Amino acid sequence: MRKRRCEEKREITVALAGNPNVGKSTLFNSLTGMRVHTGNWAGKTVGCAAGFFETDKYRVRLVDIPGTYSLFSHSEEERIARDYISFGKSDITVVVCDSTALEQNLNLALQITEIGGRCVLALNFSDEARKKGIEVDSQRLSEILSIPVVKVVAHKKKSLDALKSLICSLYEAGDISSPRSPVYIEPIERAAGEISSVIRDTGRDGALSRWLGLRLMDADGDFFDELLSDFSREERERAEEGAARAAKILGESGISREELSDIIVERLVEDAADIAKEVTLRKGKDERDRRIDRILTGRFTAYPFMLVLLFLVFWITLSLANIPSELLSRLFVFLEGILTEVCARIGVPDVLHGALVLGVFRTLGQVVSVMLPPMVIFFPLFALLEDSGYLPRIAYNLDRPFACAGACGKQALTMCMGLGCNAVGIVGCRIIDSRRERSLAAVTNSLVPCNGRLPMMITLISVFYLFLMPRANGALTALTLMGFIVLGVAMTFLSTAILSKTLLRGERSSFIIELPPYRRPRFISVTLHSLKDKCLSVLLRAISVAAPMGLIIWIMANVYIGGESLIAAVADFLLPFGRLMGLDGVILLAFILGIPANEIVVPLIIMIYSASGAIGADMGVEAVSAVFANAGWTPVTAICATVFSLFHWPCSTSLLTVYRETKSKGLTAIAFILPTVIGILLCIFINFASKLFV
Amino acid sequence: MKMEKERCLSALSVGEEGCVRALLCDGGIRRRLLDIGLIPGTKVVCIGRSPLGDPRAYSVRGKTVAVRAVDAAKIII
Repeated sequence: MRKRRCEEKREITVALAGNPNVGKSTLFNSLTGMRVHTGNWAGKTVGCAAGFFETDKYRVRLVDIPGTYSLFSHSEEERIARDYISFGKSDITVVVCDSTALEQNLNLALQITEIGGRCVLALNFSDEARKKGIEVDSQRLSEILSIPVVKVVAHKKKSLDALKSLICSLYEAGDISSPRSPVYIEPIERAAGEISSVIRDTGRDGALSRWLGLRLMDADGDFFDELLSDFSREERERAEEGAARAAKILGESGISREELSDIIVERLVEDAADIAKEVTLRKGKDERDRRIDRILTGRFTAYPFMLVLLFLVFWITLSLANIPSELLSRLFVFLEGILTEVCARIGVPDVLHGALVLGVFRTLGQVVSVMLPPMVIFFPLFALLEDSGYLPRIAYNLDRPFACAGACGKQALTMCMGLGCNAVGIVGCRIIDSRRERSLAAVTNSLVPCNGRLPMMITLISVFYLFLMPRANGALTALTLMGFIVLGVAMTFLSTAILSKTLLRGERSSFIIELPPYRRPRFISVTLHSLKDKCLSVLLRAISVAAPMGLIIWIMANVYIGGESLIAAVADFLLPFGRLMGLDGVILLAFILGIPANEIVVPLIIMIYSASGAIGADMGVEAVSAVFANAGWTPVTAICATVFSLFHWPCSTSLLTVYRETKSKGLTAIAFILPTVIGILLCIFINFASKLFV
Repeated sequence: MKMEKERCLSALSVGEEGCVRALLCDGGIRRRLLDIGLIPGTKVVCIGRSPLGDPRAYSVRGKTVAVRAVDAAKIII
């Protein structure tokens, strides 16, 4: 049978909306499979991710909108959601609801159906609902809301076929009945009617006109303009006149602007509660979450559990990453050999071979083989924790200490993300509502070591112990590493507290988070998606940022000025500064050149010491220790180097990310200066203290 | 047996329940509280406290929400 050529399918846009934690992203992933281009790093949707899936007749463009509790709120995420949904950028809106918490979810559903337009309600977690003894009458719900309702289990692709065909048939349906809109008290209905009748006269849809009438009564300047953005001048004047009449009616009935908002929100909440009660046939009783929370958030058990979990995550990440790192390293050496062969065969000049193969390619190899394995283990682990519902508990447990430092518990989560990659942690700061607290979390993020720095720290700590005892002790190294991480966390609190009182002063924001039900994480799909996400971004960073630096390093190492290579000359220049900090010029220079990627710092130090023209292949700790000892390292040097690796300027990617997220040069400067100053001061202190006591 | 004395949400101890009567805040925080369902007439149960005592977890309309004492003090029950 001959294969039919793919015809051009009609493209329809479907928006995926819903409260946070209802499984929207899972649904999104299940529908779009691997064909996603997402700008989403944080594991939580913080921007609109878009993907595609195909049916027989259509190519569906699916947009995953940030989770929001309502369309009225003022936070950035909710504004994005509101704008997307209200201004009709999609053909169909799918509202995803959690079957186990219908009352809460229907609030948003009602706000969306009130806009009119084509909607489908997807009742997610229907398997969980059944297990908890909750049953929802989807038929009745569909009748009440006048929109199609379908039960889904987001991670089971089979259950999504009904949803897909509903989307298609809804798109094709000619006439759609108006979805439900709650009925408000008489003065409000009358006032809204003044505006909506004017709008309906312009030819616009009935449901939309009513919705515009309700919103225009309450809208502030910007929103008002946005709502009327596609109105002609004459239409706009008439709408404004209607709004004035509406205001008069409300004034006469004694309803102020604030009261209006309250009444509308309350009506929606009550309506949602009534509907939920009517369609929920059996209400389950579930104590499981409370029992788990008694342990995970209990007075004596919460913090120990978190520490143990942290230790486990690190242990798994670093021990599992060893072998792939080794293998990748060998792969790159092998590939380099081939490249060298090829260069020799086609007669590439030595300089070019050196610059491209020994400089760029080797640096690339070093960065990828050190950085990639830990990240592809850490981030899936993190994603699993998130899927299980545990992460908000971390924010909950740590909110008090953060509040005392002038921030909020969500900073704990950005710190956790930062342990994987500081740039990811900084993007993740979007989950924090207040701008001030977001900035605090972003500029202090680099105070916790990321996966790129951990191998370096492990090496340096091992070198330290090797100076003191004949053989490396894994357990001691691990414990010391944990100690350093705790130091990083402590410094984060301290800096946050100080910044809150000085440069980043301001109002305390309110902290209200939902503690979602615990769910069994879906290991395979979560891991695969996280892998794909992270692998790509890591490789891209390595190529774009580390490779050019590799070239620069090779040039510096092979250009000679007055008998000395450029790199040695600069190292000599930096010597006095280095000595002050208990280091030397070489170490300092290596950190400076390591700005694009911390993974090259230790190889760089070795390279300069051995006066070779290129970064060498990976060595074992004993060999490294020998090279350092030869170059004059003492145990104090090793400690200072470890401290500096924890506290020094953020990598270039992180700095760029801070700038991109905050759009402030000042904040980026703080992000640069803060860890640097801490590192320098601590090193100087340790250096002088050691001279006094040792 | 309703207590006529005005209490705020932060006064509820674990296991105690109350009924929202009014919100003493406005702006964004008020909207947020209303959106999660803390409108007057809603039943709230305090179901837990975090390890250091603050914030506390409350059950509101089937959902579990964490609220700081300083914000819970603005919710009259």
